[in-house]
Amino acid sequence: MDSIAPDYVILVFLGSCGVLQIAAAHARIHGLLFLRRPVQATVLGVVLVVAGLVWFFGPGPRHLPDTAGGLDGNGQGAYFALAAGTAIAFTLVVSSALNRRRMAGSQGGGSGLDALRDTTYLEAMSAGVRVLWRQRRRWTRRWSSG
Amino acid sequence: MATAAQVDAAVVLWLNGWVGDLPWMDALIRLLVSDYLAPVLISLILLGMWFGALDSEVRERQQRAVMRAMIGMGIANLSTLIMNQFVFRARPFVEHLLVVLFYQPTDSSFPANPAVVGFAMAAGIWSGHRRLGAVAFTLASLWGFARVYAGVAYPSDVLFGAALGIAVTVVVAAALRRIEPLPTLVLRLARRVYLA
Repeated sequence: MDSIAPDYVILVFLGSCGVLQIAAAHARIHGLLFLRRPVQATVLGVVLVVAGLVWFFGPGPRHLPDTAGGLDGNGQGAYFALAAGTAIAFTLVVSSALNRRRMAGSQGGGSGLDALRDTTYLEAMSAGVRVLWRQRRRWTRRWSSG
Repeated sequence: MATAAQVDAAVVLWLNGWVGDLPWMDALIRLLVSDYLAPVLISLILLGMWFGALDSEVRERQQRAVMRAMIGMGIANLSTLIMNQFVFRARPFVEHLLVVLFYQPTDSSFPANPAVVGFAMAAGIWSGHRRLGAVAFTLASLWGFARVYAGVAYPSDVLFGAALGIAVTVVVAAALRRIEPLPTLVLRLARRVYLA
């Protein structure tokens, strides 16, 4: 009995990557885009979502009880979290690699996702870690000097 | 009570009577009734809401709505599970001669779990974004309608499930306000790592 789980994970992964591109393009979070222009990223996002749906539902409606390879509610929740989490990680890493040269040197004003409007995720994280490291050294000096 | 059950049965028999007359409708219902289409689309709306807002104020409102929707869905699902320990209603195809467009579930027909889960998520989305909420409510309604047309749920199962899902999310929203600043701390932590 073949489980539907691998196909479901691919559906959610493609859909999540696509939705992330559409959302980031809409919110002008350029550091998360795979393509330079938001319009292009939106088109790519729609293509990914549609591709996932065609991939999954193309062979048929997939009516399988959980006793015959289908997924129950809990299984769906767990696999959705796994696939969407992987899609987020994939988007953060790939967009950072693709935009590294174009966004090099920019500081990324604002906090949270706003910082990714003009810097990449990995750049923002390493800058954040550097700030934390400096603060830690300052605190260590203050506490050990007294 | 008997009248309500008769109306329920009459609606299922009337709707299911269309099966075979309109092949395109049957194909559409086979797709809509799927365990995967509506929940995946509604969940993707939640993912989009988390990331897709132009300013931080709107984004925070949407992210709080996503939290309400996710917790609401979890608790609504749990409520159905508990309810099914005490209430069992046979599926329409067991009691009537129907053409079933879906696999034949063996669990209780009441309340319709797809309606519970779909409407719980839709109510959460609605609280943060009216237009996306309307899309989610439409998807949840189509999912519920498809279950009745396909012969696997009664209309009252879907209506009660929808009411239960919405009610749970409303209660979750009130509870999340009561446990402040916990939701704010979660958002602040996610913002620290550039994920909110």
